[in-house]
Amino acid sequence: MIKKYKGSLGIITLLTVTLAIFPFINDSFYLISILTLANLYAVFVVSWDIVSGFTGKLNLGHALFIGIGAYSVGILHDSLGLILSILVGVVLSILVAFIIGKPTMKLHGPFFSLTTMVLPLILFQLAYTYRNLTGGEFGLNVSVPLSRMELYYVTLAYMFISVLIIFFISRSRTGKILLAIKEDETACSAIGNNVERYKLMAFLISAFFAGLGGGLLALYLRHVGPNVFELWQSATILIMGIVGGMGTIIGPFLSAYGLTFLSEWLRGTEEYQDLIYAGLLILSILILPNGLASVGAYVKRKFKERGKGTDDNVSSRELNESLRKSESG
Amino acid sequence: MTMFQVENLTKVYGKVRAVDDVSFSIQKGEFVGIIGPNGAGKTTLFHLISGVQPPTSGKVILNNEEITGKAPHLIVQKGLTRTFQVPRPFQELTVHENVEIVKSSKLSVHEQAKQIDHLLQQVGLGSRQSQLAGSLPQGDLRRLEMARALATNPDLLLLDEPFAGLNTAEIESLSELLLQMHDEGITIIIIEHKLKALMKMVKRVIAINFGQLIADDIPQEVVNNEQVLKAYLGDRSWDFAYNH
Amino acid sequence: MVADIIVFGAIWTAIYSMIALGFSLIFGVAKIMNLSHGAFFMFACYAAYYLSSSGLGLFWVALGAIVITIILAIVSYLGIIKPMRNSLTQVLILTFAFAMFLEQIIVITFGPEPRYVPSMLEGGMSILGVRVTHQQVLAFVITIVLILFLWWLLSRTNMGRIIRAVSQDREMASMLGINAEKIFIFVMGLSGAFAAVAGLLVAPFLTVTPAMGWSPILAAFTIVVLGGLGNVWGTLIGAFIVAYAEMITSYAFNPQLKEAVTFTIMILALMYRPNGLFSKGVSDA
Repeated sequence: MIKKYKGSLGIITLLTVTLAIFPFINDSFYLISILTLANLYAVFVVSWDIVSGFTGKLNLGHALFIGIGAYSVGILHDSLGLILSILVGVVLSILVAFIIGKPTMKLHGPFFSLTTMVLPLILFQLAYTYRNLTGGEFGLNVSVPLSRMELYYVTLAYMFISVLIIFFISRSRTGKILLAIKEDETACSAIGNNVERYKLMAFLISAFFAGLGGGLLALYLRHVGPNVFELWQSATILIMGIVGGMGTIIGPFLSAYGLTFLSEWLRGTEEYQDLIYAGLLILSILILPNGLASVGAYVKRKFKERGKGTDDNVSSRELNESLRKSESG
Repeated sequence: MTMFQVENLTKVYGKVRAVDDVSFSIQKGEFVGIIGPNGAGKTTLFHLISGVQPPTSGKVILNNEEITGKAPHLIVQKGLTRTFQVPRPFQELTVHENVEIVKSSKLSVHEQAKQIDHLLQQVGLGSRQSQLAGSLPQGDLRRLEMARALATNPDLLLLDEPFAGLNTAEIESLSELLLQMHDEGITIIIIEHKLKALMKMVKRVIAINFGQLIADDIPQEVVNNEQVLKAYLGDRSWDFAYNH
Repeated sequence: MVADIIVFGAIWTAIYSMIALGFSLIFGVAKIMNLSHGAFFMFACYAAYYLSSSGLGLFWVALGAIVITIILAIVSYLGIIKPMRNSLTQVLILTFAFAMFLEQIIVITFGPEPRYVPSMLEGGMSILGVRVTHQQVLAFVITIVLILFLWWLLSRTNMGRIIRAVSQDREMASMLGINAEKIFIFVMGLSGAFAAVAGLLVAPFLTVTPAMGWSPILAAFTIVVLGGLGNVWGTLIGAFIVAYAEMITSYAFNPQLKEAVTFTIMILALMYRPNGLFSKGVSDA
């Protein structure tokens, strides 16, 4: 366990250092701008994972917080200044997370997922409707006092700090409690944990980082339009998280970088882009329900089993699974 | 001193009275068995007491404080813990982590972390700490459940068929562990079908049938009680378990 | 304005009930939360558009669109839902992705711009002084007939008893020799058919776009939250509340706000009436 912990930490640090040095080797405007986006997506996905992958409450509309963060900057940066408008976005994100998380997270079933799926669609429509405030379909321009390179380093720092914090939370006792909640809420509360509070806390943390990132996204795009709330935005995060392996933090983190380049490449296919996204999502769930992170673990286990011969311990897990299924059936 | 009381506890599902007007009280330091045929309402009774399900009516009182229908985690903080019929370890966590995530009101997280090793040694899982709980054999899962329950520092421990699925040797060593826990001052209520093992440990037995309390006495009296015998008539698990 | 609200509220109550019943049925029976239900609705509209533009008669357009949608529903069940049915999370992701997938197929085939489907019935009439088209009246009448049919199917036929048995305890039902898998396929087809009929009936008075499937999901889900899953009468009451709330919003304020109002109703219902939901034995398992 400790070894794995250090491994993931090493990967995060190594990648950050590489990214920090990268502009000195190659300062291609194009690459730097994709990497800036990838930095943001890394945090979006990792903050999505701490809820969806850890507590097992699937968030189908993470774009919600990104959009709230982005629109706060778009609407308020002229009057409040950049930093304050980003902060307002963060506070609003947390507030919205609280309002929808409090009633829906405690319910069994799909309530949370549906609520998160639907809310961005509504905000999308409101953004169209209240054009005095939001600029309607044309959106709002954001004037940024930072150069592209400065913004790159800002997002890199944001990525490193956010991912580290979420990573430490995920590996702490709190993270283990969240995993325990995913497996069995009743059993987790029967050993004294207030599961509602933990779930809500995870969601608020998630909203915090995504809202902050949404503000930075507005700076990156220099523009905010209703499409920040669009389905593909949430779907992209879903794909990154699922392909990387939900509940591992490091898997989604790495796949965010890999898939940002993939989607940049897909941009050339225009109208087929969303189709490919949806298809990828379906295939990855059907073929690799536990993501790429599970492939490594699987190979390792197979390798071990070969040396060990038969394994009588596996049976208890299977027995348990079947018992539990029949109990809840 | 009465530490725990159940008053007229009732749970109705549609037309079925799963638990029907059950009352009893438990003194500090007792070791009480609950018996009854399958479907008698024993597990439901535990669900009601531990807050997993709210009762339809009635009261549950722990240390002179009413805990009826409170959330399970709050009840744990008041000193009452339970285990489940089918062990419910968190399979994706290691043995150590399974105990680490327990929340006790009496100890800080730091103090608690220090006692995990000791607890796991005590239940006999000292050498398996870093194994994933999902890979443990059945007997060890029970031990893990016990360790988790102990980590909450309970005054009162409810055990739901802890011997189910265990072999004779495993039952024996678990019984020893239970007696040891009892000696350390934990009051225990245990549901168990394996009566032979049960009678060795407890000093008092409560029998339940069709959701109603039908006997509450010392073990020898209860097994000879007319109503209890009738309840078990035709239930072969009784003979089998008792003579086994 | 009040008359408008009353009349159109009634029409939308009927249509929403229809969409919500299909959605709630498959969840109630098979525990499948089908996020592509709205996409089936959208798909049926396009099927009707395509068939009617190729010059087929009214009857064949309707039959064709319904059959295609039923096939689509069953294929999606067998192909993507069934392999992962035991995981709520994975079913959510799969059906979400499948809805996106269908939407994009339609975008690629027909383009993103709105389409118009001709009415089955021409002309209109006046009810309470409100001008309604015959198509709208037809939608109302057919929906009522189909809801009665569903109620009859579930409560009065042997098939209905089997469906209810499977929904209450699948394992027990299989012990009695019922092939639950067949029931799921049947219910999935039925649910698809309801979505298709709803689509056919409303396509002529809506603008048909590839993204039109998402807002019915919100309405259907809110209705289900209000009325309880698999409960036919509860669904009607839920549909009534949602339809009238949306009509009042549309006429008194702004039609663009109606979804925000529906969402607010949903959140309020989840906050204050969560115990009314899933009341059939889910928490007492």
